[in-house]
Amino acid sequence: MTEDEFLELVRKHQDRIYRHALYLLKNSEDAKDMTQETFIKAWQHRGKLRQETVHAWLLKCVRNLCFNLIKRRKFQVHLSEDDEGDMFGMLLKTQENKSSPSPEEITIKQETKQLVHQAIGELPASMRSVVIMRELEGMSYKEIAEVVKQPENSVKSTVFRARKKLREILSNLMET
Amino acid sequence: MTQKQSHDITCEAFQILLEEYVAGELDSQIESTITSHLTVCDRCQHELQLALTIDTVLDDLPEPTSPPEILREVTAYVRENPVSSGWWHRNFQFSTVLELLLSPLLRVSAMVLLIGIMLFGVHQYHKYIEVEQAKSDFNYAMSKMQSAVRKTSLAVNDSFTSINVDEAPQRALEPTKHISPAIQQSLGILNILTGSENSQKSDTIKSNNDSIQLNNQNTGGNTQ
Repeated sequence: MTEDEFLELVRKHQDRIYRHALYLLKNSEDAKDMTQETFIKAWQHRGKLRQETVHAWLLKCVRNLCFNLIKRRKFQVHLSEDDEGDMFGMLLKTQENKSSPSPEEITIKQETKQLVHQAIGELPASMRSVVIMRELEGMSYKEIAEVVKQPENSVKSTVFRARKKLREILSNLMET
Repeated sequence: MTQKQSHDITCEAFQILLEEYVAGELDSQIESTITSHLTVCDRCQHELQLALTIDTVLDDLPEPTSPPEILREVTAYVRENPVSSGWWHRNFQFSTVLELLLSPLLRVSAMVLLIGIMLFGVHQYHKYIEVEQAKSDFNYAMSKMQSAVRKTSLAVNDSFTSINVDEAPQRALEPTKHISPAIQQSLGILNILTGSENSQKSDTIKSNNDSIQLNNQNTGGNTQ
């Protein structure tokens, strides 16, 4: 793989990898660092990369890097309110910048959206990662199973459990 | 209205099946049962509304784009650590070697070679066993022959001291009656092992054995 081919690959995948890191870490600076590290690792292991599996490889790599960072910092315990504000504020800003809002956007109130985003942020990181791959990236259960190295049924069950947990969190958030 | 059971499905069962219901992955019979249940159960209807809200928000999650620094910094790293320009790296990338190793032709060839080596090994093992068996038989025959020679010399000595001189040749040749089959067997094995070189010798020895046996019979006849 030449340098130009590799940089083309970075351009193609950087948004998806960055988004995944951002949803996992809930902090744009950390997400940026982890995305860069992922691509640097990809360059170092370029001999192993194959066109058809490169996306799964990058996702595996960014997930591992993010999980390690979360473990190192005990991220979820020490996460400050400002950090959460950073993520949700930015996500909602991104949403507002969209030129043509969908009918659902009009129907669902902005507060409800914010609550759901908050509920996603409260999911355990591994569960959140699977939900993001399924709902945001639109990946099939089979594709996710390859990334997380679990059987397809297990991935499906994780997605359903995550959605159930989201309902519980959302229900609690609505009550308070 | 909240009730624990209506239209053959409990609220607990509905909770379990809710996500599959929203995803449209249930068969039509269960789906219609749930739909009937929802018309009479407020609590489950509320749960369904929550699930649908989440579903809608999840379908429309914000998709932030990556900051431009990522590409800039990765590009800088790649330029600082370029592809190795060595002959080996230019011509034999790891992936190329891997692809070559995984090619069907090479895999079939490797398989054939492996089977060939295995068959050759089995053949050699059988040959080794046969040789060992032949050696063992030959040693046994030799020991028998030596024993017979010893007995013959003893018999000859004994016969010279005997009063009845006519019985001497018969007694002297008596032990060779039993050794001739053993000698023939061992020589046969030797022929197999060493080829035709020894076959002539074995024929000669065989004819000698035959003549010994003939002499034995003649001597026995004379004595009688």
